Amino acid sequence: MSVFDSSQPEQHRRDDVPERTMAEVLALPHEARTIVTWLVRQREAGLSEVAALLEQDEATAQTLLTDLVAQGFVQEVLNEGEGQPRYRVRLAARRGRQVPLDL
Amino acid sequence: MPTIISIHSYRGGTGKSNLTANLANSLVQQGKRVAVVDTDIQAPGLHVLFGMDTQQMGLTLNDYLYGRCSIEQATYDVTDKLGPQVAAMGTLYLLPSSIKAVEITRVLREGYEVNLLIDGFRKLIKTFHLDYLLIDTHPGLNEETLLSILISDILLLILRPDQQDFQGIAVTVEVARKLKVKRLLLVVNKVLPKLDKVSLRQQVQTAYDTPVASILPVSEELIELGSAGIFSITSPDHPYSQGVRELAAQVVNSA
Ligand SMILES: Nc1ncnc2c1ncn2[C@@H]1O[C@H](COP(=O)(O)OP(=O)(O)OP(=O)(O)O)[C@@H](O)[C@H]1O
Ligand SMILES: [Mg+2]
Repeated sequence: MSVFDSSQPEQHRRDDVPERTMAEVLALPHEARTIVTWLVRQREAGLSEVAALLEQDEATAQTLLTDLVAQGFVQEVLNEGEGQPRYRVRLAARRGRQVPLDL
Repeated sequence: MPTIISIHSYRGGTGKSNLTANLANSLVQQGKRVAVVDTDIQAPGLHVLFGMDTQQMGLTLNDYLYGRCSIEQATYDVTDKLGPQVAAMGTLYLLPSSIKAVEITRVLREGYEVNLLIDGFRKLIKTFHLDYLLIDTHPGLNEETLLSILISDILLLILRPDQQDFQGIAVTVEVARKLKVKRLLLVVNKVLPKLDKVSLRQQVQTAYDTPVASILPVSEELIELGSAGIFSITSPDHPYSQGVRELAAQVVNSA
C-alpha cells in the first residue's frame, strides 16, 4: 500500500520515497518480486516487456508497475524522443549488514 | 552468453575462496576467458591464492566503488599464475578487494553503491570479453550477497557435512528461490573419505530439492598448502581436483 496520493506529481514522489533494499525485495509478493528481480537483471524495460514477462495484459502490468513506483522499488525513466516511459529498479547503497531473517 | 557464477555459503570457512580459484583454473583449462572477483570486502582473501602480495596490490574493487578508478584499472591479468601450460589455453583476471584497514573500515562504516557493482560487472564482462565471471562472496546473507545471488546465472552453494551448515543452507536455498536464481547447485566440501558419497548426495539432494554438483573430499595436503597456491595446479590428480574439474564440466555444459 502506498502512503502517497497517486495524483502527486512524479518528481515529488520520487524524492520522498526512500530507495529500497534487497531485504525488502525479498518480502515482496510473488508477482511484484518477479518484476523487480527480472528488472535488476534487465537493467531497464518497457511496459510491453513487463506484460510479456508476466503473461498478462498491459493494463494489469501497468497497475503493478505503478504500485512498485509508488512504493519506491521502481522508477520511471523518460528517454528523450520516446513517448513511453521505461522502468528501472531503485536500490539503496547499504552497508554490509546481515539481513534479518524473517522468512 | 557470458555466465555469472556466485560462490557462496551460509557459514564461513567452507572453502569458497579455494573453490573459486580452483574452478577458475579448470575453466581456463577449457579455453575460457574468466575473471574472479573478491566481493568479500570485509575479509578479503582471494588474492592470496593467486600469490598477489600486499605490496604488489595497486588499485582494488574499493577504489572503483568509491569512484577513484575504472573497474578495468582495478582488474589484473593473473593468467601466468596458472603456469605456462594452462596460460596457453585461456585467460584469467582478478579483481581484488583492498586489505588496507582504513579501506575495510570505510566499507563497514559507509557501505557502497550496490548498483555501481552491477554496472561494474557488466563493464568487466564486455571489456574483457569474459565467458565467466566468478564472484567470491562474504558468508551469510547481507545486502551485497543478496545482490550477487540475484544477478547470478548460477549460484554455487557450498556446505560441509555439518548440522549448522545444513540449517543455514536451507535458509539460503529459500532465499535463492525467492530471488529466482536461474540455476542453483550445491557443493559439499570437506567430506571425510569414509562417508558414503552416494547416500550423502541423495540425502542432501532430497533435503533441499536441489542438485548436488560435486562432493569434494577433505584433504590434508590442501590444508598444508594453506591457500598459498591453487591446489588443482600442484595436485591435479587429487580427488579434490578431479571433483572441481567435474564441477567445471557441469558448469560449461549447463550454459
Ligand atoms: N577440501 C578441503 N579440505 C581441507 N581443507 C580445505 C578444503 N577446502 C578448503 N579448505 C581449507 O579451509 C580453510 C577455508 O578455506 P577458504 O578460505 O577457501 O574458505 P572460505 O569459505 O572462503 O572462508 P571465508 O568464509 O572465511 O571467506 C582454508 O584453510 C582452506 O585451506
Ligand atoms: Mg573466502
